[in-house]
Amino acid sequence: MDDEQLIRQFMLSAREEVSDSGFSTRVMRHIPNTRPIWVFPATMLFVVAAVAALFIWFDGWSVLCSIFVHVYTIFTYAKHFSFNPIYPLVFLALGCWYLTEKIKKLVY
Amino acid sequence: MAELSDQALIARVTVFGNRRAFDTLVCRYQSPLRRFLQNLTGGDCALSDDLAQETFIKAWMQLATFKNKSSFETWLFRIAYNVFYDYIRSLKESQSIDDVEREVENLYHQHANDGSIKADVTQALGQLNPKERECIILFFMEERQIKEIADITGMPEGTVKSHLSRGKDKMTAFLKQNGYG
Repeated sequence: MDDEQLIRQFMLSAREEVSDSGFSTRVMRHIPNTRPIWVFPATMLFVVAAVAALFIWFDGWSVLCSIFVHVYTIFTYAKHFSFNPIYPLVFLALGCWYLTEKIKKLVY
Repeated sequence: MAELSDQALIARVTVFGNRRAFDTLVCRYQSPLRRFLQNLTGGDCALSDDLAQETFIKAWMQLATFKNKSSFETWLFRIAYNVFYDYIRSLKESQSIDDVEREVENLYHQHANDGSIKADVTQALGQLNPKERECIILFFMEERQIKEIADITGMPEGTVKSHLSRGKDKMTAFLKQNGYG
């Protein structure tokens, strides 16, 4: 065994994992907030207000009703299925919901 | 979140201020970082935990400046190394290099025999001067490459190599004298 191996073996014999024992919790308690606590709720409020405004502006209720009627029609009279421009809206809504879930996971 | 890479976690912290991602990084690196600081302080667990905590807080504050030139772990070790020397300087009014080195020696030997790390390794490391000790700990205990040691300590690679070489000679002599060779 050469000198380097001897030292390496000797040093590694004293190397051990340091158990967490609440250390990371203590660190996280001392981590400062880098942005004001009201930023996220304020952003959410703004987004909700914007979506509500768009919903009213584009007469969202009638869009939703027609989506419901079309979906109902598809399932009831499947053999008369034909493409309707409303369908992409359904996919858009589902896509928005999926993205929101993803963003929530990224932020929290 | 534990299975995500360092880069993915760092992106979540810097872009979204995601605390859970940072918690995962703390859990991932607390052990090597605390062990490194324990070895620098001669086994003073309380002090090394305080320094490790300060290191992680600094890392949180400065994460946006992390440029991915080295690994996250090397970057973290560099912060820890600077935090350790800031602490040493805070103990002394005078800031001369000799004073700082003397203070590192005092701190190391004050705790070297308290049984918190294996006594002979501590005793063997006690034979070295602070710079040699840091290089030996990083090279053999933390298994860092010469370039990484240079990044962490801010010394040129050639200087790291000479410290390592002198440190190895002293360690070998100590080990042979004590029946390890």
